[in-house]
Amino acid sequence: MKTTSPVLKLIQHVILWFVALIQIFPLVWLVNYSFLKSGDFFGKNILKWPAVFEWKNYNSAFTSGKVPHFMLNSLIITTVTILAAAILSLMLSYALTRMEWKLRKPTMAFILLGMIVPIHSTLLPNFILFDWLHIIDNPLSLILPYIAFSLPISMLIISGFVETIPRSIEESAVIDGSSIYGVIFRILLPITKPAIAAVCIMNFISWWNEFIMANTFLTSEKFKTLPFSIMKFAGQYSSNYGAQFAVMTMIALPTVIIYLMFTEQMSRGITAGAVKG
Amino acid sequence: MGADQGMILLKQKKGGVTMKRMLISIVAMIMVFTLAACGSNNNNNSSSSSSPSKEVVSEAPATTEAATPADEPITLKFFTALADRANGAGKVEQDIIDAYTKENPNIKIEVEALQDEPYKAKIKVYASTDAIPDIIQSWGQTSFIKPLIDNNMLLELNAGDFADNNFVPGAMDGFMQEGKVYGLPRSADFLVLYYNKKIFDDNSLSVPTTLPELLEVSKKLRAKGINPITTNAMEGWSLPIWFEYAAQRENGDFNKIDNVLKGQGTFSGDADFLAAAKDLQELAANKALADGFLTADYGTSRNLFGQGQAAMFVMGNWEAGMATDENFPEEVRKNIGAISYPTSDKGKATDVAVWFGGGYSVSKNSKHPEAAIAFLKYFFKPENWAKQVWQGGAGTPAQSFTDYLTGQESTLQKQLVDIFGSITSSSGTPMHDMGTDEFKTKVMEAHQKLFGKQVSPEDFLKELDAAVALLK
Repeated sequence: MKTTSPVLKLIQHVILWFVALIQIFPLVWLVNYSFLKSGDFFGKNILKWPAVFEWKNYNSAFTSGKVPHFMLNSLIITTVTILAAAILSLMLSYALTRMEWKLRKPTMAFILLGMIVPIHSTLLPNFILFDWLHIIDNPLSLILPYIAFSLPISMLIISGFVETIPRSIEESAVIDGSSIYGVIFRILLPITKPAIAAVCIMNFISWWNEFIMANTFLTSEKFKTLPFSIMKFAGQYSSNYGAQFAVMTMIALPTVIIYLMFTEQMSRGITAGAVKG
Repeated sequence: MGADQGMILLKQKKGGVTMKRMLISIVAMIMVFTLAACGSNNNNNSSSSSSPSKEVVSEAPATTEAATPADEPITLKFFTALADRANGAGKVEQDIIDAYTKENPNIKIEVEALQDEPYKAKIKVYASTDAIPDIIQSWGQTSFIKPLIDNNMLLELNAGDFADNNFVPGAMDGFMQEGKVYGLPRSADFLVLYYNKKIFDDNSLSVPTTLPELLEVSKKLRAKGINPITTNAMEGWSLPIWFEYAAQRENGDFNKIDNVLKGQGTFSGDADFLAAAKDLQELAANKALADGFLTADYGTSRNLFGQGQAAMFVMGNWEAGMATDENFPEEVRKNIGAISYPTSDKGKATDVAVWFGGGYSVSKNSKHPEAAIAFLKYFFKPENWAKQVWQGGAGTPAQSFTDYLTGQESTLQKQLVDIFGSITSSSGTPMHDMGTDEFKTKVMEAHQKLFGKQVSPEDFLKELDAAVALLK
């Protein structure tokens, strides 16, 4: 490897810092504006130091925005989704990479086909189906499609990872008398942890903010999820932007924390599966 | 060896147990949700059966139930586009619902409130499954209500039932098809020119009352570095209404646009329409439109005006509340005034672009149409909606509300009442709302191009004609 000149290094750093700032800016902007009055929005300045910190925004987010209630709903729905998706995709990966059966390849292709189905095209058929099953306005009407949409990509990442694991480990487990479930949950599960963690985080990020399906399948306040809090402040024409930004800050917070905590694990998990091309 | 095997067996058994436990907990989880589904389903059904579900009982005190044994519990589903239930019109709506369910304990109203666009998207989903809620918000505009009526989704209402509600004459027209009424209007909307008096005073200018003055004042404001006029050109729906004003000021008749839409004549080739389009483009050419005019959405343009950065704001009467909105600096909100669009020798200030906006309709599939209509009768009692929405400063009702003027109104509200009270001719439903969605988009785009100086006035009229051709 060549030794890089300090000038080049400086330029590199400047560029990287610049990119980092651009990436972080929306978050700074979000937090900044959550402390402003709605009337201060869209002014001359991009960022504005609040004359008075409008804690009222957060206050109304908690009271009329029902953030705690909706956050609990979101939390339950996302947790069930990512757990079920992780277990199912691990089992699927095993069946599709290790087991020999007749329609293995077509099945795998069929599941991966799910990746190209746009969410919007499923709204109406699912609504009719759920209406028929009487699970409209029920957490299941979100959890089921969420799991279905999580499976293809989760399965792809985990099976990529599983393929890198030497078969001899499983073989010795089987020789020692392990059942198939034993192999999956006691041998594969601990080894594939990084990939499963990556998949869980990915699914969390995509379903935590999900709106269009929640909007279609939920009707009562009881099960509504976090994005509906934002709508609570949407007027007929103009809105209470300050409170909306306060809600958005609170929605973004768990995502940011989780991302910061697991970012390394996540990139490791995804790339580990990609080693074997 | 034997011990080893025993250990493995033991471990395997253990593994088997955890496996089983996991499966059981998954099954349990699914069952909980399915049961919850059945539970909520029962609640819905209970409205039709006579056995009250737990929830309804807990809401209805036993005493009232005993007093009126004939009242069976009814659940009405109410779907509205007023998403904010704590402020403005949404609060008034919710207050009336709460008062009604308090007076009628056997009736439970389940409110589903979504914002405008998600609302319109979801109503399409509902419409495709026959599951339309009992009472829905509707708009007296062909683009919204016609598909619902044509597909037999809305219940025909008896106008006589609502005779006591003092609806303004013509208010139901938009909700009518072939002489039958399918909805009731909630508010009367009209487009005005808001101005910031302080900016005019500071620059010793007077508020424009005629078209030439409007242009002149705009030039002077621009010369002093002040944004003259703003509106929500990005969404685009205020522009066609603005054009209706401009056209009326040239030809003296709001009906001429309606006639063209009906197929009598065209836009291009008409000297008055051309002059109107030229008037608007002249404003644009002289930079009378605020910086970033075409990229300003509702919130942006409203704040631009509210922060005192623009002198005039073309917007509907529902912004009466700006005068008391504490989000804006006091020097601005105390100085907001409103006038009808500047006049010409053909169009007077009493010729106003006024239409009836949102309202309510009842679903044809409703299990309790009588209950839904009874609620609407209560809702539109003059002392309910008309009084509360006016006194709350949340808009102008489509009913006569002169009895409820308090004398406490802001100057801005008084000016708006004066404009509304003086109307001699009105535009009716805005032109872009008189057709399909595609028509609406094309009309609004044509206007955006006109204001953005991307097309000549002649081509603008041709684009309008092309849009009208879609209606045939």
